Amino acid sequence: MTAAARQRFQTLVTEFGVAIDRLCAGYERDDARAAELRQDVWLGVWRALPSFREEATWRTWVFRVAHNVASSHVRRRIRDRSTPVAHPSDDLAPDPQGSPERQRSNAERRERLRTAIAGLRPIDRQVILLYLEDLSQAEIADITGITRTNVSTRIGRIKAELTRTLQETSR
Amino acid sequence: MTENDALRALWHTRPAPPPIDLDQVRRAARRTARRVRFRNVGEWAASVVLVPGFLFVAMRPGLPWLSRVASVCISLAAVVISVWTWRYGRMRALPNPDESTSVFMRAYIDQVYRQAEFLRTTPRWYFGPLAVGVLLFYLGFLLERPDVWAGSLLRLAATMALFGVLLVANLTVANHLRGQAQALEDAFDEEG
Repeated sequence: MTAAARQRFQTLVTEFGVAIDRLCAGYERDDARAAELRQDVWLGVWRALPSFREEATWRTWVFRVAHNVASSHVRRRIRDRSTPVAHPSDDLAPDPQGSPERQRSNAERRERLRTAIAGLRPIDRQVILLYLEDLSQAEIADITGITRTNVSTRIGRIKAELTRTLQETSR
Repeated sequence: MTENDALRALWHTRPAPPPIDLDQVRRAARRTARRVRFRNVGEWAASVVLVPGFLFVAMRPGLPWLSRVASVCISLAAVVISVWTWRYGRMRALPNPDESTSVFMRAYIDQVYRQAEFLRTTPRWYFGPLAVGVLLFYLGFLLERPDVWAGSLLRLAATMALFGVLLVANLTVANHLRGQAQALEDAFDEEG
């Protein structure tokens, strides 16, 4: 691996580190597993780096690799027939902004959203996680390999589903 | 703020993660490469040891002629099994992880189906040739060495029972893999 590649990798980690962390949290409800997945994703990025082609943007490329690595976790889950464990996590730790009550409420709602996302079908989970990271429908279609129309329909349906779940669980 | 924006805003309130240790990533990459190399060498070594092993048995003095022929047959069967395993049984490289998920998953699901088919057909290319060889091997003893017929019969029965157990295990795993591939197909079904 050249110095330029190492530099590029470092830049990708800096630029997309937080987004990838959220993505992993969406795939794995257990924090320890999410941390493992995060490590695997970056390992995948590191190994795939020499194959980067200029056809894609770095953002699309990183998310593609990340979702394929995360899909492998889904495969293992299906193989193991294991059930994800929901832990009250350090995700409930206060955010640096807002009143403590508001921070706590946000953290609880975020945890419920995380649980709802983790319960989605794999392809739906992938689409909504990309949507939540502000990727365009064209980018999501490019990453997942499904049509743009399908992406659009799917996003509408999943958002309605998630909003309903959040409202139901907050009662 | 719309409900859509609210979902995004809520999702983005997750606290920043601790930084990634780049050295740890590099070490993990090296470990993976080593593991793949080790597995490949292991597969190669197994096929190299198997064939001369059976030929050595064929040359043992005092062996009935039918058993000698059978040993050569088993040795040939071992060659067929090695080639077949190398040709159809090994895991093929998956597409680059930067392919779209549907391409990547399709390749993986096809691979699982291939593995299931590989195991499902073991009676044809694995147990069939080996069982015929083993049967002839002990038949040689039964015909030419009636003094040891009871022991030969017992060993033949034990070997066939072992084959039976392995056969059932292979077919069970093949069914399990097929089910797994179908579950993956359902999970990643684009139309769902």
